[in-house]
Amino acid sequence: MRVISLDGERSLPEERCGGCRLCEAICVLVHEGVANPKRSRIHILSGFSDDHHLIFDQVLCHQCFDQDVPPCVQACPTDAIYKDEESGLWKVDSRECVGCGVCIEECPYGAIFLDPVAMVALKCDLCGGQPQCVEICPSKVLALVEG
Amino acid sequence: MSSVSAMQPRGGYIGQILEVDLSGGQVEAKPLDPTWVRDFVGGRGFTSWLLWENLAADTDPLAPENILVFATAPLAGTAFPMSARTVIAARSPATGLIGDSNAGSHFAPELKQAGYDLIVIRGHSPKPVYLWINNGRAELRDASHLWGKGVYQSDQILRQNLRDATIETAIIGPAGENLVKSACVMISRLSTAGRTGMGAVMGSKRLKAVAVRGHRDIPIAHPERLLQKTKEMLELLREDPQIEEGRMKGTHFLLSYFNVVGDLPTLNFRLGQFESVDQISAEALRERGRLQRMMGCYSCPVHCHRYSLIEEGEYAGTYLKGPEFENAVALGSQSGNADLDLVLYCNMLCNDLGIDTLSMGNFLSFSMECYEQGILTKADFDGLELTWGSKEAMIGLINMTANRQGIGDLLAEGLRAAVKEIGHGAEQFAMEVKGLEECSTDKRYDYLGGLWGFTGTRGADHLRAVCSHFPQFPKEVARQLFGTEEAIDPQSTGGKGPLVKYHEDRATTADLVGMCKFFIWWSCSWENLQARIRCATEAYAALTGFQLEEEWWNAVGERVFNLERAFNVRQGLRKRDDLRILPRYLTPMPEGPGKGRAIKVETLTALMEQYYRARGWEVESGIPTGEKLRALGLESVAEAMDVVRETVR
Repeated sequence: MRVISLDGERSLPEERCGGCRLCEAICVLVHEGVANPKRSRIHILSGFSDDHHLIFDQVLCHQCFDQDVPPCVQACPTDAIYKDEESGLWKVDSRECVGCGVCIEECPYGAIFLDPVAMVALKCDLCGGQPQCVEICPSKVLALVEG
Repeated sequence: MSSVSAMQPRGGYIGQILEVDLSGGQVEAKPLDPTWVRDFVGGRGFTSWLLWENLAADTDPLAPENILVFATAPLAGTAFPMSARTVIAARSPATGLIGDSNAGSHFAPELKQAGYDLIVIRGHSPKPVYLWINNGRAELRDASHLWGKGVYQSDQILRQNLRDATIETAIIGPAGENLVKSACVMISRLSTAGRTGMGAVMGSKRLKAVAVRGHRDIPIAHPERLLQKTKEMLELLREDPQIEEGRMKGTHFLLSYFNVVGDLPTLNFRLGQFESVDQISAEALRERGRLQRMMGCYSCPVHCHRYSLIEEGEYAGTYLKGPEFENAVALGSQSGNADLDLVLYCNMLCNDLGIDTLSMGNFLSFSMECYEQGILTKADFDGLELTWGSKEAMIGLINMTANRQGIGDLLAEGLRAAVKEIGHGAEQFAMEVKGLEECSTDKRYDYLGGLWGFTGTRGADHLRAVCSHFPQFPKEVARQLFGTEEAIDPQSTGGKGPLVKYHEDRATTADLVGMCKFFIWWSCSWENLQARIRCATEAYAALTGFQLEEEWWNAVGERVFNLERAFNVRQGLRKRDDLRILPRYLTPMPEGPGKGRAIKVETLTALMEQYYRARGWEVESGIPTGEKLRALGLESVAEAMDVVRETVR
């Protein structure tokens, strides 16, 4: 099973996330065919630490392979999150999702998002095996590794 | 009139303008006129047209009648690389001419997602306010608690007030509130719309800030084609070694290069090389551990912005984006300052107070030279000794200017106004073009800078033409486009008029579609650059559903550049203003690789007339001909210029 890993904080400035959100932009373009980073399945959260360090955190679904039934799946009242037998990935069936947001609250990584336009849960589906964000990340912060 | 066949774009635009009347406290949404899209594309095209249409020749830049426009561009918010620029425009209080300034960051995508392509702000608010745009709803809110505060703190408070750290902001500092004519607008704390005093216009309107948040879709006519063009552009950028240099060092890399060739403004442009350049270079920033990380504007893979942080010593707690090349010159070599930490601190101080670093750098180096020459004394600076590179002088004078204290009140009016008051020959040390303080290259260096340095529509400008130092044209292309191979020899006067025109038109369209200037400047090869422009044209076509020819890019840029020229002519700009040479540039460079180089009146006149001819402007007056303007589809502008031409005669 291959998943997207975050290489975390690396030492060289140019190897660290630059916060350009190209990953968000490409994710929405591929999945929704529009420009709207708020509907992305990966999010770059930026902020300053108390000692003025600028921080960019990459947040996306890890698929929780260490658990039989991930917390989001357990929490979903409409069973909208299902295991895709072919890929082995947990996916959201947007037809079943009612946008209640319980999965978002239960996810320990904050890695499920509410689509503010379609009002359904959004999470990474690895673009069917070739994640576009990994392909285009200029700093190569995102990588596809064996999970 | 235009090669665009379809009137209504099917993507890229939201189709709404937010009209704000500060005098009446009203906000209202209006539809975007599709003919503006066809004729002026977006960004600077929209702002220049709005300024032309809404202002009169006698509109006081700081009066309620001046309009302040925030413009996004069609590609902003999409994944297409380097496309998220925001333009802020008004009649400039610094020059009286067209004023606009351009910033990166993530503001433009957010504004579009909040529901607007443009914000047009009129009038004066009776009390300090900020504009809060939240996903299609806009309101004016009290900003009394922010008035008087620095940009950094205001940004922090605003995010707390709105309970959202992810908003994008445009904020002025005390300099803007105090109507300092070189006041800037800071975007989301770290990015700068620096030039032409847009912060002062915002201050005159008592508009402290604009905060935006939104989550609406920006439509795309052909998403798959846009994805393909996005990947093509990423590949073109990856292939170019100069982009890689920018990715590693930001614009700061230019510092060492300009020093080697002898074009690094040093000690108020007295010299072209700075002996301590290695202490303030991009390499020094990295070696001394000040560079924390590279940063990208929205959807830009280049990451040329650098986040710098000082964690120890006298200036601990200093944090900023940069320094950019221009800041390192203005607050470094130009002011004789070899202390990197002081460059960073002064850069942050200017940003926090909301004053343009380029103008401020000129105020510093001008004051230092006047002090050295005995024209200004310690008493004039309230006891400060204005020696080259002095820490007390730099920090002191920045604060005095932003707060209009002592001589700072004079500098706040700009160098052109200040030297009239100071007298005693101070004008020979004032580096300004058409009232805007000089940008960070020495125009004696070659005949390219020696022309584009005086043709930009904003006054002193490093971004209207961007063509010195990087000759990108093969000989046969130069012959074809400019009539002579000499055009690409920077030390020959041949073909410079057509070459500068070409660069200006090409650079203008970058500002119309929302793209960064580096996309048409940082390149090692003509082929790569041409492929990039073709790719951007095709991306805009994929986004909107328009059919575009390859010539579209320069043609639409030419239209907007002529419109801006007409605006300036309406303000009274004439050929004599283009030919005004700074005393320093008449003086030969005393040493270094550029030793002996100077600008001669007759050479500049010949170059300028060559340029007017290439532009289709009247050689005697520099006014665009009716024929040219009509060929560009600018009928109403042509009529106005006909009237001006009659008056001149």
